[in-house]
Amino acid sequence: MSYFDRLEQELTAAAVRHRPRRQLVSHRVLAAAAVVVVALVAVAWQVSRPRSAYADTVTVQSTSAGVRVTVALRTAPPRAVVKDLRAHGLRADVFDAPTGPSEVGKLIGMSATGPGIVASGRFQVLIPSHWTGSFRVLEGAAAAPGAPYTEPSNAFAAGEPLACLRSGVRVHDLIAVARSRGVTVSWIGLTQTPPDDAAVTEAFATSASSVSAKADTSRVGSSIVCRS
Amino acid sequence: MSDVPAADHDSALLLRSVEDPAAFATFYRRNRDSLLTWLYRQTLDAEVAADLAAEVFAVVVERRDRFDPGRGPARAWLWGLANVELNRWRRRGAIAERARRRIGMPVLAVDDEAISYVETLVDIGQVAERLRGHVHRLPDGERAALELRVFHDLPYAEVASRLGCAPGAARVRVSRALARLRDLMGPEDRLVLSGGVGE
Repeated sequence: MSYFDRLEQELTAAAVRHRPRRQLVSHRVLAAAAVVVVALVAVAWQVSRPRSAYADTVTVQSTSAGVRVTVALRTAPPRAVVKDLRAHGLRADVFDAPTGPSEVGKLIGMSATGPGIVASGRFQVLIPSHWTGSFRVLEGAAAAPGAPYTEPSNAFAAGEPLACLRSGVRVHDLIAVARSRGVTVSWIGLTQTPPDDAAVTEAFATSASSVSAKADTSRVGSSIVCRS
Repeated sequence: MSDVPAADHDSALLLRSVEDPAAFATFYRRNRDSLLTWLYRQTLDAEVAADLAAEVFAVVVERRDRFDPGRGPARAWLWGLANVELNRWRRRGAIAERARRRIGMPVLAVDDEAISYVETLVDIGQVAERLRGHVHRLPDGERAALELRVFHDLPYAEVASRLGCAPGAARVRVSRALARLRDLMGPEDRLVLSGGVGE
């Protein structure tokens, strides 16, 4: 029997077991009461157990495929992620990932090294039970002058080569600013420079002096002039 | 619940399912594939899409008495619930199992056959051009697997053979590559990939 047939069977069986009864009190009244109760519990909990803003940064779940380790709070500092991983009994350390100024000190992602890794993404890794490997938590670090970034950054972000521009800028304006700052531009997915009026949708800094940009040739971009 | 009569078949099935669970099975069969298609386009991960669909339908079982046809058709309600679960998955990075637990339903393991089935629902090649712009940023192994599977439409066995790895490893590489692409893509690309709400 296929997964979806079994799912139908289980859902229908659950529907037989779970026959909801009409509510005597309206859901809105119940919801309001629940909000009050939750607020009271939250206040009491905060008062009695002050916790770090980065508690529960990492979630660890057992699944049929293995143990799923996820960075749930992607804005957390890398060291908070390491601390939380260790609190779950996992080995972890911070490693530098050379990138642009806007990403320095921020969490870039994580990777796992060790035997039997089932699946690995930037913020989620699936490992076997009783795993003996360790996690590498990547923290954005300033790249050496002229060195390529191992992790591209948003070229429009503060401190980056095209900081005065933003998504939607005309190709012509982006090229002009890049040229004035000695930044080379390559176009993602295109073999030649897109039309001057096309809109730039994204731009990634791949080093302090190079940017990979993406243009939407079906859209007209906005004219933006950098003052500085 | 409103006394407004259900204007469409799905709404009628959902209303009837409160007293007649067999009606729920019909509702599930009528909406399963379109929901899976939408979830797969949103997540680019067939396993996640299948698991999310299970949780969404569990929420339907749990809350079907709250469906009010006066506020919109059943499919809109279903997609509203799916959107909540999808956003929760995006925030938490993990699929909730709460509804399944609450209604006493086991969490079924999504197997290879189910993943293959979901993958057949969406012609990922149609969105390949959108993906192509970001592919160069993937690690070599993942990029090779993705290109063979998505751009050349080869089965996993063939991808594995060409890469010299097991089919399971090839699937992991493609899944990992798609997950990375999802993180790399901007909102505009995601909008195109989503293919609209409720089809």
